Amino acid sequence: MQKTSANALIPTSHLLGSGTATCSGCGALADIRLFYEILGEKTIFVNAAGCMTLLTVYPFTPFRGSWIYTAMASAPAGAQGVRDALDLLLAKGRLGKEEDLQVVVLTGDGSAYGMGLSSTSGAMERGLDFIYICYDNEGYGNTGHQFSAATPHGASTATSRGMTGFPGYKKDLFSIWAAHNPTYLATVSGADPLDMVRKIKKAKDLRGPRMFIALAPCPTGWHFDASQTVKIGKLAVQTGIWPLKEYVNGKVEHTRIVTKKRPVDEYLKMQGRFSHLFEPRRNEKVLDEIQTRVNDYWKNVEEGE
Amino acid sequence: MENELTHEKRVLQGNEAIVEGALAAGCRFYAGYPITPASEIAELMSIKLPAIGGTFIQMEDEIASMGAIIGASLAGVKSLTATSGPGFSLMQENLGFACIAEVPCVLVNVMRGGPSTGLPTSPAQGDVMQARWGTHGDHPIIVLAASSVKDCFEITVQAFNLSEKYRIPVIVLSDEVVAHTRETIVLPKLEKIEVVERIRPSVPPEWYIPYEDNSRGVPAMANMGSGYRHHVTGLVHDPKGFPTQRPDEVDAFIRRQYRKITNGFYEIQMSKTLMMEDAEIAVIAYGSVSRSALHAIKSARSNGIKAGLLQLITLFPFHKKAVDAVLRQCRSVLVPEMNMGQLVREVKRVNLSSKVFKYNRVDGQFITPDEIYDQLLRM
Repeated sequence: MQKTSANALIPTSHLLGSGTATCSGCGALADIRLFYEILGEKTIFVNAAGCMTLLTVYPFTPFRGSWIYTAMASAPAGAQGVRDALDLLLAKGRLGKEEDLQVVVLTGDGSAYGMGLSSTSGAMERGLDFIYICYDNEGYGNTGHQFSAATPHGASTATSRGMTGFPGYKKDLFSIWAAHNPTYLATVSGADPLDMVRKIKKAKDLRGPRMFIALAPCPTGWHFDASQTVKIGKLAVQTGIWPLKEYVNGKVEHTRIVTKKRPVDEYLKMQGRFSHLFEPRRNEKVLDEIQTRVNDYWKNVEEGE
Repeated sequence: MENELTHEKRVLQGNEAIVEGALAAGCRFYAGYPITPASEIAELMSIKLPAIGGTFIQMEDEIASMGAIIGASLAGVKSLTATSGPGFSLMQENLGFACIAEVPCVLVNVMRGGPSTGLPTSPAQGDVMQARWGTHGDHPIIVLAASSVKDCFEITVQAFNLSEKYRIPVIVLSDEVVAHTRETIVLPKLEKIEVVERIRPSVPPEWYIPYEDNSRGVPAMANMGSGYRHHVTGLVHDPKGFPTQRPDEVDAFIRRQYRKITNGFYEIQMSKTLMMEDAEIAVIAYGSVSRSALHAIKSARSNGIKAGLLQLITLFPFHKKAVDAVLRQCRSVLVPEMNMGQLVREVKRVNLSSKVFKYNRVDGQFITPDEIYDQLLRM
């Protein structure tokens, strides 16, 4: 039986092995720990190349179950094969019902927002019964933090080092995935475990595509002290930059509405990747734009609800 | 365009020298996708290209990267992409398109151990045959191998020149050792570097036939949007650029592509020989391994063994002439490679009766001079 804390929600067990090869303060690892705690040992992870590929370095793995690594663009396709084979074995009675596994795709934002999108779209279109966890550290962390389609406007990365940082805007993956009408879809943050646990538990009992986009503050790529991961994760929600929401039965609902939002400056200032917006002088234009976009987003939310 | 950085003594790594070489050769467009050990090329391009009015673009994957450089080249801008094993695999289909449509472009593959994700990031030379035959169908292609930082600069310039002159994609093979080794390099002044531009049509637009044969077999290439009708297709096409299945046209089309490269063997096939004058045994090597080989033959010479080195710069079209000369002169030849033996087969094919030994490492480790020297002692 799983041990639970006083509020009876957040697991206090530690199913995921310790001592992984991730950087200290890795936000993605915090996300995955909670997922693994709730989904349990009877899971098979299908991974696309990324930071979390490094979780397993011979002869150690933090997982108690199996792990498949696929090409960067095809983790959901790999999951399709695994799920179909399991179903086949179940149907033939060669695998007992209690031996069935939850198929979990685990990729970073590089794969989820970019080159893996077509494969994910295909899996959702076919109604594949799987869970997709995208740990979103807003760049290609594993290759030296170049920008990805998930990189926020203005952030400095290895391939966007100019005075104004990344010129593009973070892709709205949530809406793209929602347009496929999956069984369940949510954004989560490891810094808000209550919200996260509730969503994972909800998804666990459903069937069909269940999609998660998990914010993963990255000390190495975002340039902040490893002790600040949780604080940054919280600020992302409190400033309104990372909306916590879910999509069920064709409707989007926000699960945390912060009434008194903090200014985005507080979140941005803590990260080296935005320091060029503050030093040597404040870049009012970019900062205003970021704040305005956040304000507009929440204005739309309020008007819609 | 003057680049003030390109005429001084500097300490660069191989990847950085490739960027310098590309810019010196007139490259103004880069599209790529992050991958170790090639990412530095993209990172440096992201800073340098915008500063001189060029375009750096990071694409969503390597398929798109290759697509983008083909588009840029058709529009008239010299373009480059760089990747490593897994990305190189993804580029193969578009690479074939660049071959059939005769689009000049340069693709750098910084080899790491494979297949799949393989060994990120240990050196290897396992992509040699993929560079030659990775994309499907009969096609000629030019593959060059860099062995040092200086090579990276010079070979990248050569790659662009050959690509432009023969309207063909050129692959530069580097490896993790070459890519990340830092060496002193004296970058030549820009005006001292020979830069070749593709031949553009000299006839009025209404007379222009995009794939018209000529004595060189290289049709003149108009920039898209310059008034010349330009229909570019991945289907086998007739001289006007439109799809054809007529056997005579198809045959002529494929054979012209081979002919244009055969005509250029004299300058496309590049190699270096060292201490070959009186050599009795020889090493044939390429890429970073040729540097170890050089050390090994020097040791051999100092111990009275008459050894020589043939360093292949052009891997494909395979330099049969140079290899044949070595095989005729020497009683035996060693081909050390960081793969299970890919180019050694080409060497053996040149003269099946000659004694060709191979020495291979596939453990992600570099072949050292001592290892090659030990092999030389056995020959």
